[in-house]
Amino acid sequence: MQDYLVRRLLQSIPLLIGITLISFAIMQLAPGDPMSTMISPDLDMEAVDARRAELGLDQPIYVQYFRWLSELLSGNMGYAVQSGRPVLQMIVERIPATLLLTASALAFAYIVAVPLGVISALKQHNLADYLLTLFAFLGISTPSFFAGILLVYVFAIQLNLLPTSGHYSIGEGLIGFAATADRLRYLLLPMLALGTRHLAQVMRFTRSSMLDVLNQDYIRTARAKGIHERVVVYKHALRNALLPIVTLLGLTLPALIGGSFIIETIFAWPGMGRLGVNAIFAREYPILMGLNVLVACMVLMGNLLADVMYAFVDPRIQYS
Amino acid sequence: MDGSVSGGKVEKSAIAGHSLLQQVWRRFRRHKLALGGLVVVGLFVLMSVFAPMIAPYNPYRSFTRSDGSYASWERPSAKHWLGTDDVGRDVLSRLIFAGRVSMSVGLVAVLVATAIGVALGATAGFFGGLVDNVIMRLTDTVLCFPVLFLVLIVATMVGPSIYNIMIIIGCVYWTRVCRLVRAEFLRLREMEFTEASRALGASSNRIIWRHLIPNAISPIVVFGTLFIAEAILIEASLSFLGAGVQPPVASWGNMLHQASSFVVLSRRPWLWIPPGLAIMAVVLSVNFIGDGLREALDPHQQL
Repeated sequence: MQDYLVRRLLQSIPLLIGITLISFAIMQLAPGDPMSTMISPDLDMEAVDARRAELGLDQPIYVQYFRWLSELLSGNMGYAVQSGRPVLQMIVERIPATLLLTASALAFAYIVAVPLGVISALKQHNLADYLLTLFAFLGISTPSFFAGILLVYVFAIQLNLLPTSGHYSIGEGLIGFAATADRLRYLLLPMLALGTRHLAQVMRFTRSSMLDVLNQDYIRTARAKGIHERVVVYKHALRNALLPIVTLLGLTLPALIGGSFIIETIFAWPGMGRLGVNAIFAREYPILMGLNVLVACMVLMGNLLADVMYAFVDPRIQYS
Repeated sequence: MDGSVSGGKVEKSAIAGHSLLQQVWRRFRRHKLALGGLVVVGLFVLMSVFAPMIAPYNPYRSFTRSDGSYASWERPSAKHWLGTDDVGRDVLSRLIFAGRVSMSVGLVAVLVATAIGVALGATAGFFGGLVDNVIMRLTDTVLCFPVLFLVLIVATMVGPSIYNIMIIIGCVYWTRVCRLVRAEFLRLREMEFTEASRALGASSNRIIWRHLIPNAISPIVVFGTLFIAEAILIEASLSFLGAGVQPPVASWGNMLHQASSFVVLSRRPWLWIPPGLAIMAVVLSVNFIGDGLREALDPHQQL
């Protein structure tokens, strides 16, 4: 197990290098270099060239890459163009909000999807299965932003039950339980909008995984021994069916984080996604690059965690 | 297919009756939802192709009121079935023309993605070794980036024209096709027919094109179909954020962008509900078709 962990960690090193290479390459697509945005007509070109040399922009591209990489490794992601604040700091302070949103969307998706998937599998080809399948297809086919604005339209505007955007009531001075309840009210709609698509995927996956397991010999053995059907389903089958679902987590993590970019924008949720979308319109390339590297690393870590968890819960996995 | 054949042709048509395509079609037909999806997508495609004839007005024409001001934000009426937008353009006409943009972006993006994915996946799976290792690490790396964010950034940097968006989505989305084709090739290259053709002196090139790719085509087709749905969603998301297809050209995504205004969202639902429903209808139908194709093409399901 320990060997496996070490090897898995070592395997992610080339991926980390790859992530920095791709991010750096994308940065080269930006029109001009960072200096070209700062040139005013009355600036003399010698000063510009001197500044370019100072920033290393006159160096060959691979030298620039290694410079950028060494800065990155020491925790310097550059500074925002408008505010001049360190990019790393700007991103890090947005992480908790994004984590809260994605984690609750994940939790919502799994808590609802797994039981529904099991029902769908047990009632295969029944009305319930048919309806759930239809629902899953609808969930997969609805753009998350359309789901988001529909939710706002129905629950916030028409029914006036929940707030349209933001993440807590400002100026109410709520404390304790009231404050938590208030935050939950703000969390509910974005969580639903982000989680629904995921829910549909997990449900379909649970269904097919469950069907696979129910056809296994050991399930027939368990039934033949006269074990109660409920025990067979929930103890023997479900536990085994849940294992591959852990891998689904790793696969859908990028989509979930990508989805949070849109959902955060719709609901004015103060997370990384909204920072990113604002940075796109403000042409804040340093922020975009920082986000790109950081988000990719987060996905990498998520995958690593999912793999390790999978190896941990499934004793059949071979480490060699 | 054709009943009135005579002599030697009878046998031929009997064989043709069991051609792979006909078998697939027979199994596909059983999947009612997929069949329904095919009809809906067919209608949308016809609508897009014949948009200039179907659309009641020019999608760029701004209607004016008698006082010369824009006839903006008119409610749905007999004249404008889906009302008018902020500068008095007919929403229904824009919706019809937007279908052209949204669906062709989806289709071309998938063609680009499939081309890249098949090329890389085939190379990795066939040659193995170091080549395989490098390509798979590249794939793993690209998979770490959320597709939407990557597309957003690149589109911002190179400029969001329709063609750029098609190519960018394709260049970001090849990874899963690549993995799929590689896995198929790893399996197929160990099969006896591959060995046999190699023994007969066939070149690698010939083996790949004549034997391996035709055998790997079913999963590629299924994935490609499902990707069209994904690509349409990505384009819509991009345009919804305002970083995709740019006005005045209409796409379903950028028509929904108007809903980011609170007034439009709350009081003028006719502007944003129809394009949203159009996206859902097409994507849902494409997903149904993909599901039907999977069942029809999957050899394990053969009775």
